[in-house]
Amino acid sequence: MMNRRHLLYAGAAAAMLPGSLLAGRASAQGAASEPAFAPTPGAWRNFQVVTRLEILENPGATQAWVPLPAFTAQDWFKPLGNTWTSNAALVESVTDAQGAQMLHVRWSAGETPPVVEVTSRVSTRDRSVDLSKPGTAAPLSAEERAKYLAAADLIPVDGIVKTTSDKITAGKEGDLAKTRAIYEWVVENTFRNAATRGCGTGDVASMLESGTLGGKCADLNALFVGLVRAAGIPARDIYGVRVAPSKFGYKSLGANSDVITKAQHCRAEVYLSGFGWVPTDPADVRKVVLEEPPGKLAIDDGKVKAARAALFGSWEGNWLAYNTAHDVSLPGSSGPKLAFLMYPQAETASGRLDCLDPDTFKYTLRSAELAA
Amino acid sequence: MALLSGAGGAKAVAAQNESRIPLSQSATVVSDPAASPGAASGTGAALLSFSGPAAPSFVLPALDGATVALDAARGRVVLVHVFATWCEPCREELPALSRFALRHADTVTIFAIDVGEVDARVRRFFETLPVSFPVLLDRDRSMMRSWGVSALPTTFVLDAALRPRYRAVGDVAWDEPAADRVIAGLAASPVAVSPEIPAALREPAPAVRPAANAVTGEPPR
Repeated sequence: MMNRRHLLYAGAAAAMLPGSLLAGRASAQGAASEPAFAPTPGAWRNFQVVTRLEILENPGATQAWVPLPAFTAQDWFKPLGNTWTSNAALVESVTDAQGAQMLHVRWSAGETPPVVEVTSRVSTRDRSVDLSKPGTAAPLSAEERAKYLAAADLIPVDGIVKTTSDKITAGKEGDLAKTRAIYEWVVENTFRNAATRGCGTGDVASMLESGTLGGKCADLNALFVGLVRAAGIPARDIYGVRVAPSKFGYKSLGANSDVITKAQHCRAEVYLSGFGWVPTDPADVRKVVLEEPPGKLAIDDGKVKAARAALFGSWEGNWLAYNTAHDVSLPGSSGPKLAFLMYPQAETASGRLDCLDPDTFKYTLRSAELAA
Repeated sequence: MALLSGAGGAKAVAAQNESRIPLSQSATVVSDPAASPGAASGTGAALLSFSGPAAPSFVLPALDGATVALDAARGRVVLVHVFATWCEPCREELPALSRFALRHADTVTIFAIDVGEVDARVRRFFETLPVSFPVLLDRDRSMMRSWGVSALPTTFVLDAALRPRYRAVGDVAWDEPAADRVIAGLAASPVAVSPEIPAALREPAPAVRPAANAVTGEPPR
């Protein structure tokens, strides 16, 4: 039986051959017959997301935590505030030590059924960074640089992550070339697994040790972030949710209904000297491969090629950003930390509920575009 | 229904960091799969023999509400299997491990330890996949860290003195005779069982850390 690891490195070698390198974004979009995926900064769009959460099981004293959009980037994302209603005894907006903002809600025993509804408004737009010439972005502070190079519980930057990163970036000069090599490697060697629950777990070392490089966005983009950090380049996941369809006609890359309860998605950024934070999303390339109609597209399909070229340096503003935090402690909880906060969470007297189980823990997210 | 409403105003709440048990690198590999006649190979992993000090003890909640201590199994061959329900190789391996547990019920105690998942998710998973061994919950991954586990699934085979004797990283073919031979060999070996030492008097045991990757055979890191 062929060893999965052998497949892994065979794929890596193929990905690093000059002939397999991607053409640039311009050439991928150059032919009129080729599909277009070309996010470009333009008009701002305002969105409202309403998160309604109910605890269905007989709860006793109950707590819940609802993620709030706290991320701010002046050139593409601005939170516009949150409002809420609840039958809870206590509701407060809190931020954990890693920067994840959330609404913390406490219900007394007997307050049945516990309900909270949170309305968040944000303004966002497409992003695109011209990687052909460095700009004048200020360097990260020493503190920020250390933060975005550090390991997280599930994203080590030593051991197999470091050795894999070193193999991928061998012979590459400069952070841009190294980061692009890692991006291409992740696209070539991973796969989106439809059976993965939610957005995945993001246990990077386990993925590499087992050679099973399947999962969803929280797995594949965490792998990308870990490999980039291990190369000494600052990187981060941004956890959020899709709020609108893709205007480029990519069904797989948008929320195609006003109900976005299962549209959570994390993206990734790398910090490149002169360019600043650069948007990337290798996980979405694999999503296009698996899910873009008619499905199971070839890696050289035109739609895949266009998305692959664009998603290193740009992304579409049809998505809300919550936070960039790893290893999140829920204030008021005695339970373990979360690898990331992208889903509503709740605890009853019987313990933490399964945020992916709609039978005992019902929540809905609805999105609407507002007049800008 | 009384409504409470509000807006804006974030308040910073400092999170407390967990204390961590540093990994030790004192254990060493004594053989590779080819040199180990009893080695059991699976679809991606082999049980590799190694030696080291007694494994760090643990006391963990079980899915059925009990509390289970590793020390309680002293005197029997013990198989400590670390997994998660999201891990595809883990899911594939569990039915064969359950059959293996039934075959060796007289000599082997198996602890399957789920890491980092909410109880409700694990409970729901095993409602559709009943197994013949207790499932323990390492909710904060502290056991996983103290044993130096970096990949799932990982399995340790301990002798009757709770010394780790074999380890596999990846899914093992538990239905194959090689796995049975590993257990038979250990069960037949006379092992001096150390008298119980109260935890308060015990030196912290170094983490179990093999010196080679069982999947790739790569050297120690």
